[in-house]
Amino acid sequence: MVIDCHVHVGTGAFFHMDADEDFLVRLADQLGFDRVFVTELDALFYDMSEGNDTLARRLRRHPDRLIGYCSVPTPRYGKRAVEEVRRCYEKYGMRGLKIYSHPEATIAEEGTIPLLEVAAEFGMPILAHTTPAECDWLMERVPAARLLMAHMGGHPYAYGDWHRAVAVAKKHPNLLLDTASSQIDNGMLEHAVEELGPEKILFGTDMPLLDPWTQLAKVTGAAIDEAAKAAILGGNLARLLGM
Amino acid sequence: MRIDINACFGHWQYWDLPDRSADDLVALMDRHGIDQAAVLSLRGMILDWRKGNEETLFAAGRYPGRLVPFATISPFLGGSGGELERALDAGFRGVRLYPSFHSYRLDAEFVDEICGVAGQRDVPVMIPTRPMMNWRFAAIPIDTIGVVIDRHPNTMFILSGPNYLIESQAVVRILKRCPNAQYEISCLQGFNAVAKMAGEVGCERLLFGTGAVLNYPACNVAKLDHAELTDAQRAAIASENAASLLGLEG
Repeated sequence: MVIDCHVHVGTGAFFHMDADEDFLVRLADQLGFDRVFVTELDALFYDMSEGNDTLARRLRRHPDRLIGYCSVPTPRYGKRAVEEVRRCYEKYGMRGLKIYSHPEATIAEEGTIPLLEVAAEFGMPILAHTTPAECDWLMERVPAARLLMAHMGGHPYAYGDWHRAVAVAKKHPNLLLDTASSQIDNGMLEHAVEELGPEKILFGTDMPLLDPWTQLAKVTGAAIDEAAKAAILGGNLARLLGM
Repeated sequence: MRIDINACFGHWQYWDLPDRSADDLVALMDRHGIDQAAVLSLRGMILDWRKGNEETLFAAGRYPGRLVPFATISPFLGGSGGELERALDAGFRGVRLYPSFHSYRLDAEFVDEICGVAGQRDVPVMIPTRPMMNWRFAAIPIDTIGVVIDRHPNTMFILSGPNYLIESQAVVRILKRCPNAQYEISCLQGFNAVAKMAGEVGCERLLFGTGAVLNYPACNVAKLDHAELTDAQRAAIASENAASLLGLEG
């Protein structure tokens, strides 16, 4: 089973992205992905309630293929963000939470804690576009949260430092790593598996921003055993979601 | 057939590479169906271009028909157009410049001297904006490379390093303006980006590259194999364009 833990849907100016749910399912068919875990760009970067409602409609069109993240633009929305997570879980059955850290608005601060706590209460993995240092800060305070570090350090704000991502993930039992990234550094996945075991690593593509074939080859072409590849490609997330 | 225009071997100061030697590189090429690779020793990029070039030439001599030697050179340690002439006489087929790693500016006279010799000798100059697609490396602004290309219309250039969005838009602008430039795809990670780039500038302007041993070669093999291209377009990018550029049998 292949489950992509990091997928976007909707329209976004910065990323030049304009994709609907049908496009994603066609893409998943081509790639041989069974399920894709999706976040709505509108919810993540603009109007969270409007965007999460849109995502709920998309999920209903392909309930057997799409899994939904409730997204909030920043934990600085405070109680409104916490209530949005509760609403998306109870009304729509969304299975995860997506949050995004910027240099202009970090998530490593007290206001994020209630958001992580409500996600932990509902058993929702939290896909966080963030840095290893921010993850460390958050996991120290909410160790029960299942935080999934998007890009495992492989984005500009985190300076591409996957060694640091692995080191921090080793420190916290519930901190997981997502493989999606522009980075295709030789040895990065082998290092992560050696240090953490395959069970803390989840396959993601960041499609349709990134090329999914490149991202898939990062796992299938790595020098790790087939059981580890199967766990990373979908087994771990299936277990996490009770699928 | 695949010709990788952007490969290397050696040690890497930021982490311990699983594949380091020229033997390791050739084993990777075998595993991923790559017939030939333009290569240099990372020693030349990081420490000493003279010793690095010796290692590169030695490795290419051990694998004739598989490894195509690219030199690197800098103003440090007496690098000059004359030194590039001697390197080309010794068998190098192209030159890569690393101004960030060698601490010089792209508007230095040295750069013009090297590009002039390369043009006279009909070998390409590659100027990577970053050594690999890792965000820790600040990219050289591609427009500063475009200025160099503009100044040397009789020299062929290989652009390498730009990724998606604004970076690839800058590549397109330069390729449309400069017929003497081609683009190596190893850092281009956007969705269906190879096909989009081919649509904008023509597949004859694109070159297959992996960035091995720094990058996973499997990723760029998959990227090109699954790009929305015709077989003829794919073959051009995979090997034919590089063969023509380097005077190899494609």
